[in-house]
Amino acid sequence: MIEVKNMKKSFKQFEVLKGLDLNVKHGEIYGFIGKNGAGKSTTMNILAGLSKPTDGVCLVGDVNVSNIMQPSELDLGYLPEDPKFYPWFSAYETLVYLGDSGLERIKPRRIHEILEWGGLLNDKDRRVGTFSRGMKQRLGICSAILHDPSLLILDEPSSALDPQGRNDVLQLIKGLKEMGKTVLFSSHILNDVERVCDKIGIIASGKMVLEKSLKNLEQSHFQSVYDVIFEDVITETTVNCIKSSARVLGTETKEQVMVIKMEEGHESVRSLMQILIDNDLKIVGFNRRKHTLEDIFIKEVHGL
Amino acid sequence: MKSDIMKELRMGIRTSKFLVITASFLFFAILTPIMMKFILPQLLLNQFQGMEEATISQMLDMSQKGSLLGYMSDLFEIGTIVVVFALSGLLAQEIKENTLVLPICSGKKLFSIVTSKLVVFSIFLILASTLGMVICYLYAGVLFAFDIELWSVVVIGLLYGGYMIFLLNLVMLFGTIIKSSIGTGFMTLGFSLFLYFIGSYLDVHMYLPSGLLISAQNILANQSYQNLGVTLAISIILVLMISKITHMRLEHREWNER
Amino acid sequence: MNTIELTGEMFIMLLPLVAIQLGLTIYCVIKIMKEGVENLNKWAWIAICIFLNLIGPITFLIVGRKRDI
Repeated sequence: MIEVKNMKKSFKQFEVLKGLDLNVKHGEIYGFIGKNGAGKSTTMNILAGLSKPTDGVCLVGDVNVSNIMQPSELDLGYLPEDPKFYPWFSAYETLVYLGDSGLERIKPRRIHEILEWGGLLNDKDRRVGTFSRGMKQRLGICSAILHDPSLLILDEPSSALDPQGRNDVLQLIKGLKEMGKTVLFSSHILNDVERVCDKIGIIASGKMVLEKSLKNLEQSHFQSVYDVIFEDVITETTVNCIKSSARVLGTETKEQVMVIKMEEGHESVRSLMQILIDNDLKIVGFNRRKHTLEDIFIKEVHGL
Repeated sequence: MKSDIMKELRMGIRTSKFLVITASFLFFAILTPIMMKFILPQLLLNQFQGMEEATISQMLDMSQKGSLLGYMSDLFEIGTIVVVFALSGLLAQEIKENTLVLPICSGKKLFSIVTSKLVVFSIFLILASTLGMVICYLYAGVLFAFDIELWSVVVIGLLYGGYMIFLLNLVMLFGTIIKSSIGTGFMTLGFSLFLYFIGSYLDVHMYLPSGLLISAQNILANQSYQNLGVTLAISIILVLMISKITHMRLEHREWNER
Repeated sequence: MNTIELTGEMFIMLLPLVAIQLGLTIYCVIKIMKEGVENLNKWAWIAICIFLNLIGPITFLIVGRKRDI
């Protein structure tokens, strides 16, 4: 759906994107994360056709962004970071206005449906100027899907909102997936990304540092560290028992809980279980530690 | 195009742009003849005790023609300021606040957006200044006497409207250069006054849009239509050129940057 | 004769002017109370609209109106 290769973008002397690669497949929800100023909005602006890359290839659908005359030539809906509406329009009038592109005119019935989907039907005749931030964001998503595009580019749709507003927006994004749309959205709230995305891309100082599906990411970021909870308070003999195994690198005990660090590798789960069973230890809980998205993010962004 | 025109109409009504301009045009159209008839003579009488009424009527052009001339200078001095500042945000604000991003992404054409603005407000300005002129004509006619033909007053109104359209185009052009609407307003006023003084100083009004104002005065003063054709042609070409540049500047913009 | 005399004729001719002025002022005061203001204090705008003929309401409508409504 989106294919970006070695995209560069400079503003005057300042190079914001330094050879970015990005791939979004059909039907995916792609979470685009990065710190403020890493180049997220610049990338999305280019993908939406609002500005041109300085160098590199950027295909949206099958259209090269560099060759278009107008953003509307791309089959996509775009929600800017801070969507601006005419404050003197009502929500309904806004969608009627945006829905008339000269070529096609969206029918009032569809506008009502979209407003209902976005939870704005009761406020359709209120001036947009009186809307809260969350309502404007929802109206923005409504206007992005107005022309029924197959791809949606949402720039920080949930970041500036309160928990309720964020939840509403994330529900709408999930709804988009059910409609079979491809969604690319950026955020710096990793929790939001984890909740709805299939795939994430981490951008740092103008380059993509990691691009993986969330499933793969979770597997590859399991640590070989386990928290084992024993039935009784752990004795010296138990510790020695476990330490004697060749694959155990170290242990740490606190009352009933023992933190065991194993050798790296896929087999570490099995070998630890083997040790526990062989020694006939009574355990009540077993947990393998996992890097959180935050850990991964910090490691990828700062660890390079 | 139709939805863009509807949008501009709604904007003009809801942000009271139409109201501000109409009200100030009408206010002066009524005020000027009244000033001429009642207030100025009495002020002069108070100032110079013992002056005879005949002398005063020699000093002041106390007639329908005089009122209209007074109204025309009011329109030039105050009307233009009101028009420029009421309309200064027309493009500047849209660019500054990024309100054009969503329409562009929804397939709106810049050409259609700019043209709708120009069409809606040009027609409005023409109507407003002609209406103001006619009201002033009627009022002054009732207070003094009807000594001018109505149709020449309408022509004067149209010419003043034409000058306002020139200002409108300037506001749009400067709006693409300066992002603040107040700045755009001052820039437009400064530039138009500069042109006016160049016109007076070098006596080249006929080659400038300010010639429209001079022609209007000539029509009123001595029914002379001299040079009007040249001025009109130049003004129309200038207005078309400015709107073309405005459109080109918008086409070559990158949107939504910070 | 130091003041300007208000004759009946003059009064009738002045009526439309007063109507425009009064109408604008009332319109602006309602807007100020209902929608709020920008750039200046609410009461300052009300004072400007009432005491400055024409210029007051017009200045308010151009720079004082709340943008978001």
